[in-house]
Amino acid sequence: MPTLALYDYTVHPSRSAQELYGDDMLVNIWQKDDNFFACPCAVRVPKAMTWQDFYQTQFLPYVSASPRTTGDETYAWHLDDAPFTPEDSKTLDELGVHHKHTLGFFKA
Amino acid sequence: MTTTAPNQAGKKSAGKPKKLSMKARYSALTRDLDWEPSYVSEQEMYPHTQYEGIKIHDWSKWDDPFRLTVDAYYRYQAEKDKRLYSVLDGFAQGQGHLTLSEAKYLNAMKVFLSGVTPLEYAANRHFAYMARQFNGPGPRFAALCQSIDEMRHAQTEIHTLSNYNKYYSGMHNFIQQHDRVWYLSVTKSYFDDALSAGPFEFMIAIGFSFEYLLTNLLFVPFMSAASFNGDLPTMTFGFSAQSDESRHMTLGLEVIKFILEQDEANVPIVQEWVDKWFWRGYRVTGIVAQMLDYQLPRPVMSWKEAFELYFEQQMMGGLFPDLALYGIRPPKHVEQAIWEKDHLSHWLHDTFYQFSHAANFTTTVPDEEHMEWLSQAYPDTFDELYRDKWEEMRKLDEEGKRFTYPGLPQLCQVCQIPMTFPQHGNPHLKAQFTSEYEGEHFNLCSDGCKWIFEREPEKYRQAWLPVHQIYQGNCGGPTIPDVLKWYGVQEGDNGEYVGSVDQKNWVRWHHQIEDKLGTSSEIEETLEAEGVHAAVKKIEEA
Repeated sequence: MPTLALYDYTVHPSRSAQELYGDDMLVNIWQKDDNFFACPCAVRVPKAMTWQDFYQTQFLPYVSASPRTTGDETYAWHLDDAPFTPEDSKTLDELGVHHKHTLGFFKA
Repeated sequence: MTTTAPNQAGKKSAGKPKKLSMKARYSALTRDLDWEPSYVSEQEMYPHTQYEGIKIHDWSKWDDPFRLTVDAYYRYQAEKDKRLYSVLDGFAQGQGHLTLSEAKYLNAMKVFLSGVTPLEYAANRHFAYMARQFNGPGPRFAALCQSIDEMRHAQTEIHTLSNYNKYYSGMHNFIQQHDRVWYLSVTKSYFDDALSAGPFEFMIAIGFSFEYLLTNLLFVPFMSAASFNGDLPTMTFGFSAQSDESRHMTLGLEVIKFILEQDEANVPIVQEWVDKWFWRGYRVTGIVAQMLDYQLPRPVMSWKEAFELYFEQQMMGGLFPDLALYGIRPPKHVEQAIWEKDHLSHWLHDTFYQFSHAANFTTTVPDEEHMEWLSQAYPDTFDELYRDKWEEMRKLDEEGKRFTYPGLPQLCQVCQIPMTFPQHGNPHLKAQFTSEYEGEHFNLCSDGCKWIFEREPEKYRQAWLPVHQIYQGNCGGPTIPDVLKWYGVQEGDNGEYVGSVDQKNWVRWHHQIEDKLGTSSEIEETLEAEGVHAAVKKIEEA
């Protein structure tokens, strides 16, 4: 149902829209097979960042901060609910990773 | 107020004026607060009471449950204030802060002061607005009284806790922090959501859900915690507010019954609001859950016990069978809340622990005695699911690797809590719900928050999510120190409790009082023996 108001309520924009981040976007990283981290994390990255860069600069520092993982493990991936196969040379955008999507990982 | 009896009017020296009864004085007072508009329509005079679709046929049926006159109201409140401020003075003069169970107890009050007290003020403002906007004189006067109550609560809570601010960290700029600190957006957004709704929805959100359905879970635990932990001022504030809260509960119940009785078409609208505001309010109570189970040196009762008593017995067993007569069923998603009672506090305090470097409170791993208490309070879950992780945290701490979360959390678009909640029925796997609106992707923590989002996506897409705002550059800068500076966090406000400014001062002050040690070197020896120096060193090294 639409929000009830005395005026046209649909005019208010999102405060989290991708446009607010320029050429960047937010991506969430979620460890699915271990609950040491209290919750998934959110990072701001360029849409044009390659998977390899994402892995090195965002994922590895995150996962290796957990005392239960080193980052040397082999991981399988989900993009939101669906299985996801990364490719090092492709950008996040090309891989279909868009603003506020969640990349879930677990030991393969 | 006194007046002359009608048959005596105009006569000189006709004897003593006759004093009216309270009921008659109330009637005389409110009669003059209402009139039929002559040069504008009723809708123009009260423009907010129709667009929500609620049909009211007879405003006079909404009786003011307070039935107080202004002079009587202020007399009662002044009397209560007098008693409260005597206690505050005595406590301050007698160095009462040193009789608390432990300095870390005040973390619960830091959460209360920055998370709840500003809500009292927000309620003050909006009930004042209601006092103008309702068509009937009864609800207008009731809203006026509640508005003044809420102002008094904000003021007395601030005064009650201000004495601690002289000695302890984390309380010095609670208003600014309420607007800025990541976890405080949970309570703030609840109220912002209610304030930006129509007047009837506001009354269900605050009058019914907050003040009736969940009030015993929201306020009683804080006041009981104060009582058990030597915090006489906060306990006295609780008593001082108790009769007001009873009136607010009465008003909350009166409102929902009035709306339901006015027209059958109101029932489905109210049901959706009950569903929405139960879940919104329940998510806010998560902060209380972690406080009850983890932040009290002397625990009062577990969240599970509180939930069973104040919600399952009193509301599910008492209120909802009563409301069933009006066609109202228990809220959607309540089964998930019932399942979560065994888990909620553990997830949320884990989150508080991992993010306390970015908050206005300190945390520490529960000691063995506390873990035993948790084990007994949660026989089906604590040892099996949560103890090991706390042991792991303790080991890291002992190795000088106190764990703090390495980044910023993903937040739920509706409740704004980090996405820590597992799936309903499966404590091993965190929940992730998503929704799309006008091409934008949104993340939600639960079925309940997803349902709320999808009812009004154009409202919730405006949410001011702290993490998203930090990444947009709106919170002082890109680094954690930048953001903490913007929060107004000072040294000692946040992080690990062991070795903190508050803990060190606490130890020093108690040794001075007990006159166990007379020299600074002996105090230093004690700090050493109690592990305070070692903890500080570890933190510095880490």
